[in-house]
Parts: sequence; structure tokens; C-alpha cells
Amino acid sequence: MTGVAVDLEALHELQVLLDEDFEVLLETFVRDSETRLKLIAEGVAKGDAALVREQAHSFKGSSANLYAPQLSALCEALERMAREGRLEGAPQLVADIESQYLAVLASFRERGWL
Amino acid sequence: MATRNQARILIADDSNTDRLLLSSLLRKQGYEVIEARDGAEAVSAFAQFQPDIVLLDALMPNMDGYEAAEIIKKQSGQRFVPIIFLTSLSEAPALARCLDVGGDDFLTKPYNRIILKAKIDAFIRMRSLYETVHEQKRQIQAFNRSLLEEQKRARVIFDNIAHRGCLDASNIRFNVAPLSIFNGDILLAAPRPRGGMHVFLGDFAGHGLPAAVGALPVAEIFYGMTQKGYALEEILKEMNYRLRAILPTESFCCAVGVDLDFSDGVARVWNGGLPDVYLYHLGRGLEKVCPSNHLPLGVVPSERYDLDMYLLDFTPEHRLLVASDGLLEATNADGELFGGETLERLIREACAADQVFAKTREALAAHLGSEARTDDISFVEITGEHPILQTVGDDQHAGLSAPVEWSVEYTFSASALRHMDPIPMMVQPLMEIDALKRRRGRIFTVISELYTNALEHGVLGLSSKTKDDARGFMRYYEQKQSKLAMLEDGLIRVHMHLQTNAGGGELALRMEDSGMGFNHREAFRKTVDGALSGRGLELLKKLCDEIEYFDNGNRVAILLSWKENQNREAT
Repeated sequence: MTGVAVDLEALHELQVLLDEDFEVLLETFVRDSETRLKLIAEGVAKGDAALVREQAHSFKGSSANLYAPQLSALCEALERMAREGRLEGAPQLVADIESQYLAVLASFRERGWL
Repeated sequence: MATRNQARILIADDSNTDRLLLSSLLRKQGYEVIEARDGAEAVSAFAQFQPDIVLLDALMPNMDGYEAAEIIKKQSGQRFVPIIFLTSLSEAPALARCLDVGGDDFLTKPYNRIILKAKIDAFIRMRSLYETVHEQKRQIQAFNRSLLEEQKRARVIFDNIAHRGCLDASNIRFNVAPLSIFNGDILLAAPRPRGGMHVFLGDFAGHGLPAAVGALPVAEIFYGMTQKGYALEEILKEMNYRLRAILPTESFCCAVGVDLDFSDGVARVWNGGLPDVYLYHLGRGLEKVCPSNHLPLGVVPSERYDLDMYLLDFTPEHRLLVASDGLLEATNADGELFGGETLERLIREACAADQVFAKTREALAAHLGSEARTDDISFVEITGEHPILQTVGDDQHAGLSAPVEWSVEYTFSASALRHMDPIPMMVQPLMEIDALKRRRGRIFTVISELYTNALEHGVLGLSSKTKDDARGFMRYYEQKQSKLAMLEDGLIRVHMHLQTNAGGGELALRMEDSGMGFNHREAFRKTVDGALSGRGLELLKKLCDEIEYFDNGNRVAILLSWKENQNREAT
């Protein structure tokens, strides 16, 4: 994966705007994301395309809202894959999503946000 | 809602992150935020908190955004509650579905706080505009309802005053709007106390309330004065005076007044601004067209008012047709007018079978086509047959019934005879007495016969022989008009003495004129033989208890007496 994981400038603007809520927002994102990653892995293992699709869809939205465009794009790819009912290539995509998610977390930590 | 100073926004999103972000952004921008985690929660929060705007995620567990949107739109009823879908959906069909279920707009993730605020503010403005329009619409509807209610009530009052009088008499056929109060037409008919009838068709310039307001005094004057025995001229003059006083300058009333005398077989017609009045005879067809030759009522002062009338033969075989502009101007789908030629053709064709009225109605319906209303067009046909009156337009309030005694004397000089009709003046004090009120017809007939004799045969010196042949009446009327107009000397003196008590009463009346008199002894002898002598002596003898002529026959005394508990006689 190339390019920056997070648009830190946009996120900083949000921080200024939300003030004390910003920290809560990031914590919520981390909690949500971990739950989603677990459910996605489960879904892929069980071949539950609907579960994968649903979780990928939500993950796509929340990562877009936190200015993590690449993570959002990967989630969209997974969502599309699940909607078309072909999970064969999913494990690779899930692995990409996990590593991209870790990159996002790393960016947050670098700024001292987590 | 509208009174809250900050807008209340409902957010429904199952993603904690997204919901937290959005609610936090909106709170920082000063909005009040309600949160829901799925569609079902959104629906119940909507009912509970009545938010101004709803932000809905499309895909949610339990109940999705589409279903929630439909329910919320249904629940908002007449109110406008904007629904904005929160979406990262990028496929057109899914977006279209958002609109199908009642969504008003979209917000896509990631949220842009400037666009977010702009959209929300725009919807709040739109919503308040909608509320204003809705409130105004509600006010207009309420106003309209109360207006209709008032018109209904006004209609009751109008009907009480402008009742149809004796329009149901057997010699009248009419077509008139049931809601004539609002189309500006008014049709009235009333029996004259001494026999005969007045008919009036008026067409007010303008419609609605101003026309209805003018119609009220017209009806009241018509019925009131006809009943008191005033001549049609006096009635029209009074209407003109009153309308001129009350109507705005651009308003007036085109009218036809008709005075019918069935026993003399004469009709007098006054036409001020209405279409031609037609006179036809069942056997001889169209005999006379009477175009308008006066200004409408309410235009010029009464002292300059011209009250010349058409004097027409009006036997039982004669018919008069009076119509308002509505008939001639009735326009069909091709823009063609019904027109006067059509009417004249109908008269020619249907006259012999006495079907003019029915055929006119049919032709009008055919002209206008099946869907058009024909009942807001006024026209009336009057026949010369002696009418059978179904109702009598009599005022019902009781007069004086306590015992009274009084005398009164009137002296009418030449100028009074020239310019006024003294009969109502003589009759009116008598009508204060309950017992005489119930004998109105008899009183009127006696007094008007005596007065007519005194004026026409006495003061004016006209001979009743003139009336003998068929054309005679017309000639007689014309002579009377011209002699009266030139009258310089002459006098009629009337003395009445009235006495009533519990058991009845009597009226003694003496009338004296300045004329040459007549051979009353001879005349009375003739009536014994059964031959007519003029002067209505036979009638007078029948109606009075005593009648006696003195001197040259220019002084007459009568006695009318009555007993109470006697059956009411027809008037």
C-alpha cells in the first residue's frame, strides 16, 4: 500500500472543531473497528457473505469519516466482493484491510492521539 | 417545533463512530440532537421528540432507513419534516430508492461540515417557509368556511325579505337562479290590494354581496308599497331614490316593472335597461316589442326620472316575456349568443300552442349543452289569465283591535291630483285596524272605485262610454293621462269617520269632487235592470252596506260595517 494512511490535516481540523469529543470519537472508532474486523474474519471463515458485506459497508463509512481513504477503499472492494457472493479472494483482501487499519492506528499514535 | 429557537435533529445510524461524529458536529454547531441506533428506535424517537429534521442511515439492523423513512413521512402528515439520508452508497438504484421512500436529500461520508451546515440550514428555512404557507392555507380554509357559513345565513335573511311573493301564481312561469342572491338577478311578484298584480325583474350590475345588498331594499320597497296600494310609478321612483342613495356610483339595477290589470285587460310595462320585453297573442303572434327606453334604477335623481310606460292590451290570450341579459347573452361552446332573433323565432313558432316558455327553456338547454347550468339565467312569462294565487304576500303582524273612534278629512287640490296617488294615503290609517286589515281587498276596492270615479268622471270629466269597444280602454287611458297632466283646477275632498267596538265597527266615508256630476238616479235604475252603467256602481253596491249620491252626483256617501267573529273573508 502506498500513500498516506490518514489525511492528518483534515483530521486535525476535526479535532479543533470537536474538542474533547475528538478523543472519544477515536476511541469509539478503534472499538468499532476491532469488532468489525473480528466479524469480517468470522464471516469469511464461515462463508457468510451477508455478514461480510454488512460489516465491510459500515467499516467503509466510518473509515471515510475519519479521513482514511485507503482503508475505506479496501472495505468497499470487500463489500462489493461479498455482494457478488464470491469470497474466494477475500482472505487476501481482509489481510490488506487489517494491515491498512494498523497503519491508520500508527498514524494516530504518531500524532499522540491514542 | 416552530417555537423552538434551535432546530431539533434526529440522527439514526447503527455505526457508533459515524453517529458520534455527526451528533458531535451538530451539537457544536448549536443544534439539539436526538440519537437512535436503528430504524425502529428512529421511529419511536420521532414520535416522542417531534424533531424538525431527520438524518437516516440507509442500511441499519432491525429496521432499515428506507422503512423508517416511509413510516416517518406518513406520521408527519400535513407537516413537512425533511429526511436526509446518510450514505456512502454510490450506486444509483440505491440512491433512487432513498428518494422513492420520501427522502429529501443525501449526505455522503466523509461528512463535510460546511456542506452539512448549509444543507441543514437550508432545510430549516424551507421547513419554516412550508409551515408559514401551511398556516396561511389553514387560515384561508377557515376563512372560506366561515364566509360560506355567513353567505348561507345571509341567504336566509335575503329569502325572508326578497321572498317570491306570488311568483307561484297560475299566470306566471319563470326560470330563475336558485342562488339569485349571488348572480345579481331578482324576480318579484305581488298582488295589488285592489286586484291585479305587480311583477318586477331586476338585474344588478355586478355580482355577489353588493348586488345582494341592493336587492334587499328593492324587494322591501316592492312588497311594502305594492301591498299599501301604491302605483308602480311610485314604487319605481322610490326604488330609484333608495338605490341611488345606497349603491356605489358604478352600480345600478337594470329592471322591468309590470303592472297588470286583469279586469281591464291592460298591462303597463316600464323598461329601464333590460332587453326588449315581448308582447304576443296566442292567435295573432308577436304584437309588440318594448325596448328599454329609460335609464336603469339608481343612476339619475328621482325628480328627473322618466316613468312613462308602455300601455298594452292584455287579454287572457296575451303573454309578456321579460328576460335579463343572461338569456340573450347565453353563449354556447362555439361562442355563439342565444340572441334576440332566436327568441323571436321561438315566439313565432310556439305562440299558438302557448309553448313559448317551455320551448325557450328547451332551446336554452340545447344551446348551452348538457353540462352547462341554465338555471342561473332569469326570464319570466306572464299570461293575461286571471291568476289563482297560492300564497298571499300579506304582512302578518296584527293591527289595533281595541275600540277606537276617529274622523279625518283630506282635501286634494289639482296639483296633488296631478302628482300623487292619494289612495294609499286614505287606506293606510284604516290598515292600522286589525279588522280592516283582514278586509284589505274590500276597503281598497271601495276607496279606489270611489276615488277613480271622483277623479276620472268627476274632475277630469271622462266618459266611461269611451271604454265600451275593444280599443276603448287604451284610448281612455291615454285621454286620462293627457287631461291629468294639464289639470289646473279641481278638487276632491274626503271625509272618513271610523268607529269600532268589541262587536264590530263601521266606516262612514263621504267623497266630493268639483266635477259636473252625473245622473245618479238614472244610473241606479239601470243597474236594477242589470245593465252596466260605468262608475262601478254595481260593484260598490255589492261591497257597501249603504251607498247614496247627493246633489248632482258629485257627492257620495257610503257606509261599510262589519261584525267580529265572522269568518275571515278573502282579500
